[in-house]
Amino acid sequence: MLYSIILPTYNERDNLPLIAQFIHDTFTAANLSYEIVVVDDSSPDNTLAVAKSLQKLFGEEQFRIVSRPGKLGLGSAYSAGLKASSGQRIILMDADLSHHPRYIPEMIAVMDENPSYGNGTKKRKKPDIVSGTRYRKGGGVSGWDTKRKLTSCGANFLASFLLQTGGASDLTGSFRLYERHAIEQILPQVKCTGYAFQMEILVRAHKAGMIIGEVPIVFVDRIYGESKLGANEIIMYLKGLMNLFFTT
Amino acid sequence: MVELLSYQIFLSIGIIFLQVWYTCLLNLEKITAWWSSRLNNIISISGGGVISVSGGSGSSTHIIEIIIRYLPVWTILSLGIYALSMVLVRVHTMKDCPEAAVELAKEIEMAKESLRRKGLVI
Repeated sequence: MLYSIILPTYNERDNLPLIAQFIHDTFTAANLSYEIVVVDDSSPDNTLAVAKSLQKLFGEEQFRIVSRPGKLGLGSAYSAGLKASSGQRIILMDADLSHHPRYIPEMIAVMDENPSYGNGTKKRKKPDIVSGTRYRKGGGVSGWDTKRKLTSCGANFLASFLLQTGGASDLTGSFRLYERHAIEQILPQVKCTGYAFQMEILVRAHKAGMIIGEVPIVFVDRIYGESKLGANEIIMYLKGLMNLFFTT
Repeated sequence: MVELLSYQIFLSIGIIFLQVWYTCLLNLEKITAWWSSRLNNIISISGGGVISVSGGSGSSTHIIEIIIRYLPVWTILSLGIYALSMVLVRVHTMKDCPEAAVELAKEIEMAKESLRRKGLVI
């Protein structure tokens, strides 16, 4: 079974070789076949050149590149990556090393319903999506101050209270393993942008009757001091939340 | 199962709540009377040693009246307290993993070495 890992990149020239090496190590150790699809939105720091040299290193079959003319948004990056991929299972994750690939074998085990892994699904049905969660036991964060934790927990609580999410504990997380049919069915329906984007995927998947499993992960925030969470982001999130509230 | 949208679920809960509240308000005297007679029964059974907190049948406003008259306020207040406590508990139990950052730094060094050996020139 081939696993496709789609990495949307924007200014990740330093992190891209490292994440590629991590993925390579994890998958060779677990004896699984993989392919990496890098979707670069014309990064000004020339991530594309780094990607091309990595492609020479890892081989064109295992390392594909989709280059786009500009910053066109995460949703379309995922769609473009999906089209260029050929695996039966898709992994979507961040390329900035906040997500560690070593959790991927655990997610695969949950998806294959290996009984030695305690998963978060209440029913013993095979999950269509396995989501990495920072909030359950075994998960955590590194590099977050209390204010950041408050915003994240507050946002997640609000969403799980207002929307029908089937008990998923981390709605804004972006480290997930999908069956190909699951992501192909849901992605075209998703309209939100920003933090609400990841949430919409889970809500729509739940509405479609899909099973969502969970694996605790540790999220390492390395962007110290830089505020990714401005007032604008929060307003966009609330707008997306209201949109979902009235349409799902 | 009927598939309801989220706002429809909240709307129906709201309508049912308003209906219940309206009925309670209409029958406020009956409820107050029933409640005070129930309290008197409990007091007489327990030997009359209990001091009636709400003032018994002689007071003008019963505690049950205050509860019913301002039911939406109490509901919203309890919802707010529930939300706040859930968020605070979550924030408190969210594990801080400084060791993950340290481990990541080590792994980055190892990966850089691996890549250098494979011949990657950046």
